[in-house]
Amino acid sequence: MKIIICGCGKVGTKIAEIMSQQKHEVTVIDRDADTFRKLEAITESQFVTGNIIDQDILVKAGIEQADVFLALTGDDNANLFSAQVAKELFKVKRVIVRVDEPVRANAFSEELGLNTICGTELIADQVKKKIGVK
Amino acid sequence: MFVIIAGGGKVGYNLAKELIADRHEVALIEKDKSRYQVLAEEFGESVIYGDASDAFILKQAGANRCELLVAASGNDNDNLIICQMAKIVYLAPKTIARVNDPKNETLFTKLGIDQTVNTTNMISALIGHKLGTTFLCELLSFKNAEIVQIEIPEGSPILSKPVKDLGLPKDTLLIASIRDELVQVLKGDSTVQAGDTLIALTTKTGEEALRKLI
Repeated sequence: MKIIICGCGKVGTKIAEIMSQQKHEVTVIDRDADTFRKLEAITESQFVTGNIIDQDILVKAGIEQADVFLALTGDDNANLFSAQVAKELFKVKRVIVRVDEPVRANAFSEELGLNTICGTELIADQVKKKIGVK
Repeated sequence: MFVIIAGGGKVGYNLAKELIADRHEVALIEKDKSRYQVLAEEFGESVIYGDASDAFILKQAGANRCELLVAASGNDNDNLIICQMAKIVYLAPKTIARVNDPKNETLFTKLGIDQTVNTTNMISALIGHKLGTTFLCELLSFKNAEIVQIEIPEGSPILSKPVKDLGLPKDTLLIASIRDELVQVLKGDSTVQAGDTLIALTTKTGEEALRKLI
């Protein structure tokens, strides 16, 4: 599969590492080229420096051929914006978007059918489990 | 009218000022603390400090009863998400977004933003107009139509022909001509002269055809 990953922070780097180990074709986009250093050392990923809300950058990363688009930066609005560009303009089949603010994550998944992952909810669930509260 | 403005930069600030002067009720949301303090000194409690894409802040601004929300920040991603949140969560009846990157205009319209204001295109069109490099300039834009101003150049093939015989593109209407600052409503048998300024109602595709025709 051809996978585009937006954001090369902790989350993006981890997913890129897993996907390249499984021999998927991975392209990572980040505004800061310094963030690519760790991945460059351990994977065969492609790297594109630029803003994920810029359609030209997404084309440069190969969005027209992508099977999967993952918007995983720490900026909810940039993620939601580029995910909708991927889904509506470039018709990427599988689009997954990280939204840390729970109300926003809910609103966009329920009303607009976006496949959102809310890191805050996931951590809260884990914490609840570990302390043993409901 | 009750209007929420997201983003208190130059655009949002001046819009708020004008609306208040026209006796509209305004809530202005600004996420930068120091900018917020400056705005609050002038507008008092009408300014709300926070991120306008946050449902809680939108509620605090009164999004559930606003008649119009304008997202006026310099960030296209924030402007889109703010309008979508206001629509999804608070059923805002009308949203207008400022578009900074012209490439994003179609996306905004496609995603249900009621109106877009493309500041970059507007400024470059106006400068082009002043330099005389563009003869067609967009005045107002709607979802499926726009009103444009056209300067008729010397040697244009449409000179001295009646309007009804011009072969105008589909959904295009020449409304009026301006000559020596006098406005004349155009009818089927009116003719235009070089140097006239025309006001026309057209569409995006009609605009292209109009450029070619004139």
